[in-house]
Amino acid sequence: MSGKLFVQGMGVTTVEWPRLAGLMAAVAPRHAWRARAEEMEAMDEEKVAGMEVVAALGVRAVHEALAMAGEGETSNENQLAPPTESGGFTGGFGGALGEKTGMVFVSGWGMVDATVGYLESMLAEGGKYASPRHFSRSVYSSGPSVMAIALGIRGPCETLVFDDEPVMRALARAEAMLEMERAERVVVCWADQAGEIVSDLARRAAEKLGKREYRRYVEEGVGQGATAMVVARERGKWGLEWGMDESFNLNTIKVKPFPMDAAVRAAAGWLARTAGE
Amino acid sequence: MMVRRSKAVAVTGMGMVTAQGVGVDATWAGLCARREVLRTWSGAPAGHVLAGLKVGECPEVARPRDLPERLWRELAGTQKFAAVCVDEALGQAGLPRVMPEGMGRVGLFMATTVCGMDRSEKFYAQYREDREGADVGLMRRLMPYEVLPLLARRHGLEGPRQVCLSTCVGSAMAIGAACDAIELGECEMALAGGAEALCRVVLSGFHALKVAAAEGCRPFDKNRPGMTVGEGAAVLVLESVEHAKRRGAKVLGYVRGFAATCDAHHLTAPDPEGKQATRAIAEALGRAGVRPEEIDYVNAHGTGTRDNDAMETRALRAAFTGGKGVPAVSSTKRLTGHTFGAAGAIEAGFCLQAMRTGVVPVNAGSVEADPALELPVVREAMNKEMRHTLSCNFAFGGNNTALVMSREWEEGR
Repeated sequence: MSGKLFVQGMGVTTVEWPRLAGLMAAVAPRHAWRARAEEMEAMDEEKVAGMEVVAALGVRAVHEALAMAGEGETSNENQLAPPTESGGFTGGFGGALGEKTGMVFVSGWGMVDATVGYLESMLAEGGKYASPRHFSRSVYSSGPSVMAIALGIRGPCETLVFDDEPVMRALARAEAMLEMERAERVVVCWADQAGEIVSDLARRAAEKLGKREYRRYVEEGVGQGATAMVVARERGKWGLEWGMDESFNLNTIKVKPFPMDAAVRAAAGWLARTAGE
Repeated sequence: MMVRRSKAVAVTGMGMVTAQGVGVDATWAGLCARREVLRTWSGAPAGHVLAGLKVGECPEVARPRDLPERLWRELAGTQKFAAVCVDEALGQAGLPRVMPEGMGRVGLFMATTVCGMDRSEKFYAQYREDREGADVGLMRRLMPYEVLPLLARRHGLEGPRQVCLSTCVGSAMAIGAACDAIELGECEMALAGGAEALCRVVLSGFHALKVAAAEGCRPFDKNRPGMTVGEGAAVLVLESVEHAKRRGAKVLGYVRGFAATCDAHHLTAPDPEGKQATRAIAEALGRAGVRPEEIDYVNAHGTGTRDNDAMETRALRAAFTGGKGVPAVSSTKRLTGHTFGAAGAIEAGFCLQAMRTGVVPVNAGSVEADPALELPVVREAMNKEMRHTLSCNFAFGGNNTALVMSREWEEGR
């Protein structure tokens, strides 16, 4: 592919680092100013709290990434921000900008709570009361759909999974979208939810099915969080050129795996490398 | 609409499993004969509410000889369907089961919604009763990406690979992403498609949403009662025109333009105005370099729900203003059921078959036209020469896709 790929903004939400500023302070302190949390518009916390965990994590990370990319005050269509005095909404993408924005969303286990909730409702009472609410929220793509609604993203929104390299492959798909002019910027988000059932299934996969890739989860537990990047062909206000190779020290950060974990590690490594720290 | 023109990508092979039969020929024959195949799901518990719903259930597929019986037993329904479809597609494309050296990087772009849910719902039913006693073997192929290493290893595919989980537009998106990868030189050839298998989760879900029609869907009908859940799969062999020429492959048709948009409107309901659906259609036409009046047939998403069919009508009418208006439209879902993540690839296959055979598939199930939907719906199967077709798909979360395919393609057009 021709052209450079710039990360215009980044967002991180994990237990260890609720905001990107914390991560940057850990790996690239001299550049921590780039995490402009103070410039972020307020989110309607009530709305976010009503979302599935994965969607809420994704929204928080993407919101931060967009704020860093300088996309905070361009529209009246963002349904995420609290209403203004006049009753409208502020921040986020407008129609035209939203149509030029795409999304790639990656999750290992998807909407865990909704899936379990739905299965329970389906199996209880002979299945008479299967929950339509849990069903529609249980599909993998419901997370990015909620994010698209909240942020006004109207370009192509793809929910993808990969059997390896979830960070680079998701970024490669975003780059292809840019190269094919399907979008002018793409929000890439990796989000995963922890939970008792996830940990238990990970343990069984490691111990009973012999799946080595799950051993780490047994030892360290399953992490929860989201990482988001706004990528484009142009540098934008904040943008730094994306680049990664084998020499990146991905062990800098001890967060737990799944695609989100890989993304946090990649983001941290890239930040440290780019910042020369 | 000014958009980047896409390079044509050749389709040289197809594989398909639907409620009409195993294989493209069996499916197409059933479609042309308007064969009613909807029936009660064989997996529905006796006396259960799901036993009252008609579905599009596939015949059992035979285990390919190279796959050991033990492995076959472990596979989810989606993975079995995908494996069988890939075999048929490779065979039609004149390709060996395992890619030979020199074939270059071959990509794999699949889609599904239910993944291995047919097995994991059984596991969960046991798990909630007895955690340690649950049959852990049922979760062996649980993750949605597991179809990738299965097929990649089996067929020696070394190119980019991904699974799209964007529900009902998933395999249309997979085809679009595969075409992008080919145009951008990430691979010269790719397998793209989707697979879904019936399971209680999906049937119960649509029943709970109160959109499942007990006796089968009636797309675009005045009294349409809702949608019909189906299962099935389709895989296309896609390659650059140069690659197809170089190896002397017979070309079945061309993918000319693909576009995707999102309503950003509602989690389960489409934007009634269909603005972003219209934009997807217009963009796909623009990328294809095909004028609206050149489209000979539209395979509609046509789920048979009140909301989808009304929105789709509005979108088509807006996209085909002027000229000859909306071309012949049909939904094939009464004859297959709605196969969700597989629908885009199955219906792209129907568009190719329509152009190859000159048969416009009928919009089965509709008894009385809905006067509120002014659409030239195909009520009787007809013969017609078709050069360009459009396939539309719409999904949960307001995802919209449009795929323009052509029978022929001339360099420079």
